[in-house]
Amino acid sequence: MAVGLAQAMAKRAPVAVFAAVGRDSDALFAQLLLVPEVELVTSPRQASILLVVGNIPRTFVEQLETVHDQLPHPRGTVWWHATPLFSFRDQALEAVATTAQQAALGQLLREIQARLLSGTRESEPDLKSDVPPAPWPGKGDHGQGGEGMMGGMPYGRPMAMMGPDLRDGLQLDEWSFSVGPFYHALPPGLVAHVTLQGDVIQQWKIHSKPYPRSLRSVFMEALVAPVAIAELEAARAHDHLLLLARMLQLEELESLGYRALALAAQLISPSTYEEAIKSGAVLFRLLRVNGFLFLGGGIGRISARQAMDFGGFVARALGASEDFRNGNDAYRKLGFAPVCQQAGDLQARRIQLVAEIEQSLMLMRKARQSGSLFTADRIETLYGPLTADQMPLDKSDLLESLLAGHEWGDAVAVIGSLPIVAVVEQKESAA
Amino acid sequence: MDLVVLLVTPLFTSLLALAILLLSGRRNPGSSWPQRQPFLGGGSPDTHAWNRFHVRYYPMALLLIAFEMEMMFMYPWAAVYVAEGIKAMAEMGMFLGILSTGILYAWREGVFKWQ
Repeated sequence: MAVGLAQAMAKRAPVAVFAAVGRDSDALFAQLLLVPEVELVTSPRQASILLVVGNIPRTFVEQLETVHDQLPHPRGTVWWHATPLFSFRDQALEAVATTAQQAALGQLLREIQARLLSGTRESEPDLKSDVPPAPWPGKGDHGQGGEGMMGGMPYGRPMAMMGPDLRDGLQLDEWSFSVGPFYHALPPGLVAHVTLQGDVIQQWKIHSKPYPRSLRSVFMEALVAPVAIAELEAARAHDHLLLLARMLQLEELESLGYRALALAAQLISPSTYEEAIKSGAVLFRLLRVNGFLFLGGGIGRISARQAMDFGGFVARALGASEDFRNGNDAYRKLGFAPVCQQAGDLQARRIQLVAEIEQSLMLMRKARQSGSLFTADRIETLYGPLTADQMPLDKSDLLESLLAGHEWGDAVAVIGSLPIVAVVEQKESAA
Repeated sequence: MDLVVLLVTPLFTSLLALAILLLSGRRNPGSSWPQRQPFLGGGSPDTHAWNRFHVRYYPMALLLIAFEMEMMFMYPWAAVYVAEGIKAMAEMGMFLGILSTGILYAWREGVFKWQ
């Protein structure tokens, strides 16, 4: 009876889902965050269902299998706009590829969860074989003997060896690992090889760059023909808000993160711009009252040259007040004035980001009333300057020099504040 | 009588625990090797995570002096301060304030970070 009651309650609870994010999936992921039946978790150990969002490149099949095997039983997999990379003999393959199914994604996940819990659907077996990852056979007849702890290979893996501490020259143990394409705090697709001493990063090497993103078409259109400033500024605010939501979620300010996401969703179509302006006012008031803009001082300071590479709000957070909207008459009539900070660290970038979102919403409100148009050969985007012949490039190599010496939590916050992914042309994809 | 209770209680508790274990009938198969891999977003570790942390003798000794001497003075104070009243409270407050400045300095120097 108690088990039946617990199961009934579990069926009504939101489904704990671990999202393995692939290519061309930003819009999908932003939608996923707002589905009410889904509780996105950051570790597969807390999830019942592995949701694969967007196509995963073949090079990462093994990593995906590793993550799949780390989910506790009962577990299932759902492929959302993704080519299935593995399937099981006894379980139906769940693939969602059309818009109609997309709207019912939450229901589908809940159904699968219910079937898993009641035993109607079998839990998926392991994909990798059940052997120790690095077996250690002893030398003797009964498996005894062999090399010892220090300098040896217990369970086939070397013990942590020492290296000099960055701060005060002591010799401390190092631990090196590769953090893979499905880590929640890094941009999807980024694979890095990290050496830690305790919490402090000694070395950060990029093995695989993050998946590139595409910008909304209004930015490309503004290069060739006049577009409505309201639409352009709404698209800018949308991109900046997604980054802000990411940062808020990394700092565990979940409800503020959801507010930012909801606001970004309202900026997609012009019919909801009015509500967006109202929700924006609430969000900014909450951000000021909250301590979010007081955190991060002195962390992740970038140099002037690195800031020039980034462009956009990152450069303006260091004091470079170049903004391509500055000389334009249409913008000047709307009351545009560039904002910038001085410090160039994590806190300055956050303050600058919030200030720019506020500014974009203000410009959008005024431009809707006046109907102004804008075109130029250089457009300001989140990822830096956009020109007809140069799209913003990938900047993840900068992380190698920037993150050494930072603690893990600080480093993750710094990565969250820098738009390091490359931008490519949007491919025509099915809805 | 107490000694009998001391013998009976653990005996009873262990028998009860054994009964619950043996009569439950549900066995957890445990995690498989792939399930036990540490979660690194799909990545893998190069070495064991059995890291040693430095004892950092010098800062630990300084912290010991700061907190321990404070404690030493608070023991006789605790015995008499109710009788002495507000004056004793104020004096101990000043003493703690001076020592807290030292602890605040140590905190900002990163002594409490376990690296």
